[in-house]
Amino acid sequence: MKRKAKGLICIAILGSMLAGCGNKEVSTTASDMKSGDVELTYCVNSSNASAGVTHDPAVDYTGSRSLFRGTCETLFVLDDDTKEVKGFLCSDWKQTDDTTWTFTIREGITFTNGNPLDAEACRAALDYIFTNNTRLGTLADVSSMEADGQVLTVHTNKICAILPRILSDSNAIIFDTTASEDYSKGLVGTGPYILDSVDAEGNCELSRNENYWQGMPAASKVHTKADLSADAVTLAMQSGELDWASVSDSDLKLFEGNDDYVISEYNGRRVYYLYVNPNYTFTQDPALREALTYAFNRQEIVDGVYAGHGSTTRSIFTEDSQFYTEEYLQPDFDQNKAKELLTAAGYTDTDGDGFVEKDGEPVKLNITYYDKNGFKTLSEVIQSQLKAIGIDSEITVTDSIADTLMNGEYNLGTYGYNTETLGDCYNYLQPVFGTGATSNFTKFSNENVDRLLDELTVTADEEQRAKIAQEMQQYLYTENDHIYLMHVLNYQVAKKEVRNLTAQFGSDQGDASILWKITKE
Amino acid sequence: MGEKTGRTGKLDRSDKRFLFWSVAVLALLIFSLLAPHLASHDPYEINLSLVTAPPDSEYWMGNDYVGRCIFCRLLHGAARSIFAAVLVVMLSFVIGTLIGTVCGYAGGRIDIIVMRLVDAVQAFPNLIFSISVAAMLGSGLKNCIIAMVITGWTQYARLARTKVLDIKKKTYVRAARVSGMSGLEILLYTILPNSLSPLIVAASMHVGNAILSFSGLSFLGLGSPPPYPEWGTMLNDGRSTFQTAPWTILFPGAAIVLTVMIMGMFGDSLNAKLNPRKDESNEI
Repeated sequence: MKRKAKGLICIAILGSMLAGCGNKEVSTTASDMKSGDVELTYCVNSSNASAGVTHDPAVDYTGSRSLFRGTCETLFVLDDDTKEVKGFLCSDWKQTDDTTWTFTIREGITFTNGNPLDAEACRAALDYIFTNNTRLGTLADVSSMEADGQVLTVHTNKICAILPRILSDSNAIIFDTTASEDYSKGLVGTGPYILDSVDAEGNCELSRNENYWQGMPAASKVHTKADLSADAVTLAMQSGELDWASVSDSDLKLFEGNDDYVISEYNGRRVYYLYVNPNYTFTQDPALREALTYAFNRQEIVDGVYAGHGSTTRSIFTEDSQFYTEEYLQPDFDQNKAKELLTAAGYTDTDGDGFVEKDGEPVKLNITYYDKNGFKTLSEVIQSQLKAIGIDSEITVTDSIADTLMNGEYNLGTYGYNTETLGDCYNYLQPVFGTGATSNFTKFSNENVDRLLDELTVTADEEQRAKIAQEMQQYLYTENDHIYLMHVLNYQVAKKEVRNLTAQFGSDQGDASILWKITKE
Repeated sequence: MGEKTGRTGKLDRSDKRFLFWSVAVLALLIFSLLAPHLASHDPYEINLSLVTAPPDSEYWMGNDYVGRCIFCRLLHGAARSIFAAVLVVMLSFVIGTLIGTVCGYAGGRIDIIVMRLVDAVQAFPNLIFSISVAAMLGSGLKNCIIAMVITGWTQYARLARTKVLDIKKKTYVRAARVSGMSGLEILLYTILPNSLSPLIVAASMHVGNAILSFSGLSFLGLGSPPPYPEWGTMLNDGRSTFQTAPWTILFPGAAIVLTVMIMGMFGDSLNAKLNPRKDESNEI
């Protein structure tokens, strides 16, 4: 009897412990929350891990972290569907002459520290960003700004027809420059959530901004995780820790057919491609670069590496884009043609090891990748496809791909870039192909391209811009220093309880202005 | 080895254990040398139509994230993973033993300086220190080995020094000195042979740990670059597919566990053989 009693007591204790654990879990789920007690947890990734956990918008794309955490906002946003530019913190705007724009800042908005949002505050924030963030500074090319009450006047060095679009960039955030001197630790903005704390890994705790200008934010607390790996994202979604996330291609099938999750797909206009360095060892040879344009089986890459979640491309732009043209495309996969070109250029396998030599010297290319977007797998497949045409290669990984590519010690570099970030082609074409531009890692320089880029800066008409971009493409592929492989489709998995979330939210062209409405049933 | 004990001439329990695990280790080493020749497919051949394909009669451990044969990669990885660990132990053993023996015998400032260095290295967990060193040197098999040797030699140095300090007071060492042997001769012919047994035991037990540490470094991406197969790298590669294709992580994991277990059991049995519990008061 005593033994039985002890057994029962043990079971009871164990049961109560398990029940305790269960209660703990249940207490945070949406169903038990009172109205207004919703807490959201999601992941805010940075495009460049080497940027660290800083909030400083001068660094790379880190301004977008404050945007998607809900602390800061932008003057303009892009409509998710039409990509039309819409005023947000800015209520009215016009181009008064070729190089002057005036923006009227919406009245009655305050920063979360109580300071009013006026033109001077916007000027100070934008001035800091344009001065310190090279990419955005180059794009906007602002010469001076003046503030008068709620009216901000911006003068540009050249005609800038798409300045409102540029100001919708996720890095062009408005923050109170007087709130602190160290922007790396956090920013004070006008957004629906207020940053309470950040840990050493960049995970943030945020609380509701009760004076938010659009209305009462739906969630009382927001928890954002920083830079989770693809595996960690999947596990966190499965365990219920995250409310939504972009899930890797290989893990998507874990959520398909599961009624607890909703999967949404969108075309992020992101292209995966190779930089082919014309200034380093063997790839200096134009003949080798031309052979490489025939070497890669794009369909095999889309199906095998990205589980069919994308489409092959021989162009910068997706086929449904107004900037796409069939007239100028890169060569299609043709292994025999690649071999022929190599042989004709004197690349032959003289020692019978299966790999070609040039003038007696073994040809070995370096493939550099950064460990995101499946680029490790892509690099291995690229290596295998190079082997098929007799070219030996080695793979190296880098933490900071932009710095590595800029240093120029690579032959092939894997890269992903959104080709229409601002709903426009300029944000891709200028940094990548402009002479001396920030992402021009191959030192591409073509006077026709520079001329057409200048034309883009002064042309407002959408149709005319598309024609210029199409015309430009006849010059972009001549050096064979970029090999376009595929456009990816993006997938977001969300718990079924999540409401008002868009598929693009959190991506580099997603409309962040909807964050205040996102909630859970 | 296989020493017969007692009047019956039968092998005792520890002898049998030692014999069994010695054969197992020997078989493992021979297997890892021959393994690449047993592979039925090219371990580097990518086949994107077989991405994470499950085990079948042709690929009986399945295929990895780019359709490579997991079995063939395991076989090719065996030599790299096991012999890299063995090399680490051998280098650590030789360097550590030499340094420890000299320190113990010479004493004085050299001893103090080297032992403080040993203290400093041992103050950090081995794996963490190895990761730091490997990260500084850059990824690659050679750098991994160097990083592990830099942290590994200290345990042998400390052990050798302790043993030498003990042995150099023994009567037979004094006798050797009186008989006119030089310091080096005493060290080489008298002290070193008598201090080796605990060091050999330590080395045998170190191999398993070294395989684990080496797999850890490979797992973290500090081993050989792709596409070379190392067991730790294979584990890391399987991480992204372990829910949808568990065989990508299961077999490399099992290979590491099995090998470490065999090495550990061999170390234990060698320890039991060389250091049987006995009253050492009668030792000369």
